[in-house]
Amino acid sequence: MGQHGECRGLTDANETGTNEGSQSNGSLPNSWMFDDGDRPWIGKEKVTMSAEEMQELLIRAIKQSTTEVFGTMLGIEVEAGEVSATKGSPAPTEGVVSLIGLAGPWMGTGSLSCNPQLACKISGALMMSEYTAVDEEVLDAIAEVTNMVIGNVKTLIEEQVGAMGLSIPTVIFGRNFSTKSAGGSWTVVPFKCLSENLMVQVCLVKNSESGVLSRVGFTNPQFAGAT
Amino acid sequence: MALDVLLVDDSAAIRKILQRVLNQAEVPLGVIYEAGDGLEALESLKKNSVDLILSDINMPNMDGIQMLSAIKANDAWKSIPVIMITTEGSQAKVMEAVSLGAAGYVRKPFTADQIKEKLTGII
Repeated sequence: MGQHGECRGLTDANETGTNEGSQSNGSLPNSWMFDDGDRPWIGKEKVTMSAEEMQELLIRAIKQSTTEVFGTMLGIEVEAGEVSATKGSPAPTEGVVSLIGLAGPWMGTGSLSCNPQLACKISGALMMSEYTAVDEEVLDAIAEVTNMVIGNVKTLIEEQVGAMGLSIPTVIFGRNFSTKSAGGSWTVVPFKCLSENLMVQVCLVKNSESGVLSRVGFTNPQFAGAT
Repeated sequence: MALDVLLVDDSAAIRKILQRVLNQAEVPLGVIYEAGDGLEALESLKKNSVDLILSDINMPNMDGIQMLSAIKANDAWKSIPVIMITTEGSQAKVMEAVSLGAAGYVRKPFTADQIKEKLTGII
């Protein structure tokens, strides 16, 4: 696995011939990119990636990002379970659900969800503190974990599809709620985390109007100076 | 000399983690200021003198790139080293930060040792 979460100077990142090995894309080191391995989508026209290729890409990106964020920031090992694809709504109807928007050549939502007990454990590991109930600090910590997980998924997939933007996360905590996403299929990757269930899922659809505002107040970064 | 540091991140959790890492780092620390976005950071700089800024990129109101640009355009602030700490790993973002004069870049997720290493390299 590549060494993500690296701390390096910007000038280092520009240099070629560093001990990171060859550069895979412009001047960024390979270790910021995908692991080695077969990547059937490589070399394809970025905008012509099919939904199936995107799903395959998402599965790898979610697994890699989640494992890395939990391992590095939380010191927690997670184990990926059987991946599924589902239309309509994310499954959870109670607990903690964190959502973050993605926009660009593909657009949609990334989500991380778990029960309140696991949310407290994750937050405790991140903050080196102990939480017995979901409070503002727990919600903030879960939002940040989601930002890191989905943010790294975004970084991995935009190498193939082009620049994408990320919204700030929204976290929901409660019982007997339902969520609905209009259109698209969710790629759902369940993880075992501290003996509890954690779900990371992403729903992306091709942006047929790439280059114009895809959502009110949500500008395609390719045409907005990648801000 | 003790270093006064400004932490800029919309996540209170990350600001708390960075504060903890700074306290553990082997650098002399003075006051640690906090800001929740770029605008708050610029307001803080008007009132406080700092020696180092650690900033997120993706924030509401004013993002880290806009904040960096404003800092480097200000004669009083342009010499302050700014380290970007963010999930934004895209080449475009890194290059943009480089061209604006960022002193370093740390990608989330990070370890305490990585932050310490970066601080040592800059300070």
